[in-house]
Amino acid sequence: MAMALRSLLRNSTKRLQVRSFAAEAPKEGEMALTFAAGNKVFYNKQVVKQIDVPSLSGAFGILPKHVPTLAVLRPGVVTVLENDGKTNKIFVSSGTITVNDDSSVQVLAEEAHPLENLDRGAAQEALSKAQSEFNSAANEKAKAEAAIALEVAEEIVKAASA
Amino acid sequence: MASLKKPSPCRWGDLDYKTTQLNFKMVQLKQVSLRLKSIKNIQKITKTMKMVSASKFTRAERELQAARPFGYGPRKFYESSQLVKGDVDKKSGDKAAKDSPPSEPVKDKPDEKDAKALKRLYIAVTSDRGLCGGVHSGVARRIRRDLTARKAEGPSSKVVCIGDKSRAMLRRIFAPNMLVSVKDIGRIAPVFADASMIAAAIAESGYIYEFGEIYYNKYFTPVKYELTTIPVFDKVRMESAPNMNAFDDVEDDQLECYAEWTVAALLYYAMKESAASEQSARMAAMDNATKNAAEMIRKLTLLFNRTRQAVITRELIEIISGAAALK
Repeated sequence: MAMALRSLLRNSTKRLQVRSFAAEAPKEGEMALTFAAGNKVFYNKQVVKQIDVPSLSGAFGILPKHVPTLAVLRPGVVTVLENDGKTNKIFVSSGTITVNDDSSVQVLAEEAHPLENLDRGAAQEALSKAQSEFNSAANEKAKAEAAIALEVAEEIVKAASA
Repeated sequence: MASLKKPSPCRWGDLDYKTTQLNFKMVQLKQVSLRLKSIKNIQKITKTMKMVSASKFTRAERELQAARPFGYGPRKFYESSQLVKGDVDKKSGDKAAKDSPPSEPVKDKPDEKDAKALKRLYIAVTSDRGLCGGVHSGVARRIRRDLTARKAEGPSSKVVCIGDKSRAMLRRIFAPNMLVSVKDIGRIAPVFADASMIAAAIAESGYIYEFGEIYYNKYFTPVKYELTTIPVFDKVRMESAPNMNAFDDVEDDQLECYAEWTVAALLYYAMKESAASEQSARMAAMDNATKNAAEMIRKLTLLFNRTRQAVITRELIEIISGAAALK
């Protein structure tokens, strides 16, 4: 009896394992997204339908079998359309996008947070602080740094109020 | 009492001899007890360090999981653009190092002379803290070996030292090759800002490298880490990758941004890996030290008790023999 139970258990775990592996491995024509930030991993080689990213050369959407490309993220909202139709909006500060020829996508961001975690009041505060810093910047470098902070703050406010 | 052996005669009188013997034993007793005390203190310290690094280690390991994609992303890109032939990661087995120089960029294969004059960048990822086994010295030794093997390149190669340990080990021999050294690593867990600061410092140094390598300890399990190198490239290299024409046209400044950001991402990843390996190695080292201290304490306690017993016995003998002589 015990033997039978044990074998049953073993079989079921084996089947479970097989199933999970099958779900993980992306098939031909599917897009595996890796989306990570310094603070958190959002997607790890997960198959998704579509990704919209803001890049320096303008926002664009990525569907499976997108032409391989490289791009740099600008502050903004990344929208991920998951396989079950759920959309996930995540704010990113900066980073890179890589679309490889096997149609896998890697989005690496310095900082990223789900939209619902953004606080509008705090964002406004950061914006006004960035503005004053930009105005009082002494040299070119400080000015450029302040400009970046300003851009990020503006985008956060925009994203939080949308 | 007749069976008591008389000590053999010596230069000083009989009494003198006895007192020196006794004094000697007493001195030894004192020394042993002092030693015992200091070893007990050392054991306390190593035990505490072990516990501290254990808690730091769990944190480092957790954060490493989040940082892994930062290594995976660029690696995947290297593969698909064929910037690097074969395996992106090179392990540092002695055999592999002898057989082939680590991951040559593909372009330089045809011209031997060209490959010799390659401007290389060595990035050593270590920290300021020691007492963690061979984690840091492994990195430094490997770089020293690679640099000496490629002596022909001379001063055209540069070394970037992250953490005081690698700097201390490399600066004497490769003083003219030093490009950037970064301090204050390892006190707190590395964050992305640290990596981007280092990447910016490398970019600002104005040194144009053709092939860079990050040397770091890759963490596998709490008892296993391996010295690994991962290549980094600048914009020009990326543009001329063999499979780059499969990629969509990328604007020049965007590619530059991409390349710089990738360096920062890889540095971040390497620092996280190395932090986890360092903490795990320190844990093991401190565990061993604690065990060794325990062993020493055991032996010294035995010695202490024996000496003490000897002193007591000797005193007793003297008292008894003195009393017997008075009879």
